Amino acid sequence: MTKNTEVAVMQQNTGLPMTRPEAQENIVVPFVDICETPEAFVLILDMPGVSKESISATMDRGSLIVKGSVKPYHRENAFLLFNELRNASYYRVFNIGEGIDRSNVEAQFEHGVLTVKLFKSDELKSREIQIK
Amino acid sequence: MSLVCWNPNRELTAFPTDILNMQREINKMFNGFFRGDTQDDGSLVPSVWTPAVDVAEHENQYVVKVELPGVTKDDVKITMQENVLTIRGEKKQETETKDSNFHRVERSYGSFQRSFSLPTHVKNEKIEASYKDGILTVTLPKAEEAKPKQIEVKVK
Repeated sequence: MTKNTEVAVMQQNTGLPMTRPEAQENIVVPFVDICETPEAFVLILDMPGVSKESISATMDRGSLIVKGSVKPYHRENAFLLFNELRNASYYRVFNIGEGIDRSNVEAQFEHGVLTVKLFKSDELKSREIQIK
Repeated sequence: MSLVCWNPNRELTAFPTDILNMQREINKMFNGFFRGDTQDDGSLVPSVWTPAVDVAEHENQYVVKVELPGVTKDDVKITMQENVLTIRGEKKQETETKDSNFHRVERSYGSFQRSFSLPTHVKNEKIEASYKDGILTVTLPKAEEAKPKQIEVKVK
């Protein structure tokens, strides 16, 4: 995918103006799985090559911004016989709708996979109604 | 429901989403096809997905890096046979989320396999592998006879 279409995908995800990483930087949109459990929405993002220190998830005015940068994979004098990994920064924005408790977000990073748990606010949780 | 400011951009961009998603799927398909590995009889290995790989040649060693996010160490098998390095394994779906309701699935799951025939011999007993932050790194030192040698020219 070309760089321009990737930028378009990002703008797709939010109607808000946003600060993107430096324009000359190579950007990859990480693949995501979104699933729903009774109490939360869970985002699972594949971000291989990112260290825990260089990853960030920010909640900003109704959007969740996930960023992560990758260190160069090889030493400078290496001759690449195969080159499929991309030395790029990960970047993806998610619109967070109403019904999500924005103050209660959990994130953990393990084996190159970022898991973000967005807890539902009480009004969105399913509850049983007592029959009188 | 609260009042929401009308954003003309949002309507304009609503249409290309599908096309961009389609392009993404096609890219995925092409990547899988061209990176597909063949078995001994020439048929394609029935792997569900194909991880991205870098193979770097240094003066004294080869370094292979494989993108394997969410794969545990025990799910990967590395074999070396007749100068062919094979990396195979399986990426399992997280058990915690297995039964929940999925809204979007872009990540790949299932078994994978990739093989590489190395240009020179390597020291089989000195091959090392490590796994960190979703990247598998295999280091293969070159055999002595494959290392570049410097020959001194004597001037008489």
